[in-house]
Amino acid sequence: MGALELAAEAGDERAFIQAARQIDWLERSAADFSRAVHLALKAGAHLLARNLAAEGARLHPEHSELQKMDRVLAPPRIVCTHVPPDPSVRANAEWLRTHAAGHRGRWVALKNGMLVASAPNARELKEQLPGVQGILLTRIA
Amino acid sequence: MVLRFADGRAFATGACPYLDWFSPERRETARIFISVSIGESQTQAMVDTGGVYFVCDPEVAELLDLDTPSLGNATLLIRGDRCEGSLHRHTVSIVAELGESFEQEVTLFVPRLAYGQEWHLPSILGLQGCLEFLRFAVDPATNTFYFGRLD
Repeated sequence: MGALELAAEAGDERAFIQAARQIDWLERSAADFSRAVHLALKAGAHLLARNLAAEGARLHPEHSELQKMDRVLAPPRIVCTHVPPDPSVRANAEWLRTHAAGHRGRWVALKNGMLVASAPNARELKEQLPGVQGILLTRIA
Repeated sequence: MVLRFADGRAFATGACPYLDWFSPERRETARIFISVSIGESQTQAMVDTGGVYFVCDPEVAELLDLDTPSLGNATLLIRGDRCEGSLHRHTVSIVAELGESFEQEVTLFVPRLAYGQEWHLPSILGLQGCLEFLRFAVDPATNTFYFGRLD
């Protein structure tokens, strides 16, 4: 694990992967898997982090932290299909093209291509709105 | 269907307009910004095929009241900088103007800012953990982003 720590500290993905290959993971504890997942993320070894989380969860089904890691880092999963289009997306994009320059540094709320609210931060923007359903909230840099 | 393979199978089932800048005045290097639906609302996010996860602007995350499984503290390299934050699982969808869209459960990273620190990047749609199983194509002539799911 020491080599993993060093590679993670250096942000060296390749060294981290090489060090991980030297470890017999079948002999490792749940705590080692959990630590290795965090170190892999720190090293930028995201695919390895996912694979370690999946393997750790499989080998240690009783370990709730590994189960959670496996769930959070799992490949994307489609949960709903046939979501209808929203034609207002073009109107909102047109508003941004045309008017964004006048709102730099602010958050804006747009609906159907119309400015609904504007504020210096997202929290204040939300406070001005009765609800946010279907509203585009974005910061203009 | 919005785009098809030569044999008639769907390549992309949805299309949406994109903006190619983050700041209207600075006109930095061209990017691809599309609207995504997250929680009840929508926001703009940048497509980054060199990135990972859905990196959520911390102010947007604050509005979402995230109540999803979280890994607690994690450190990520984002565009060359180390960034502390938390990893979650959340549903995100690209907002289609034409065709149809779909909801995906993705890995979402929320940067944690120090007191007084500001987040200067947009929300980012990375490849691993977010876009990795989507087909997508870009038409720069019309600023159209086409997307579809794998069969």
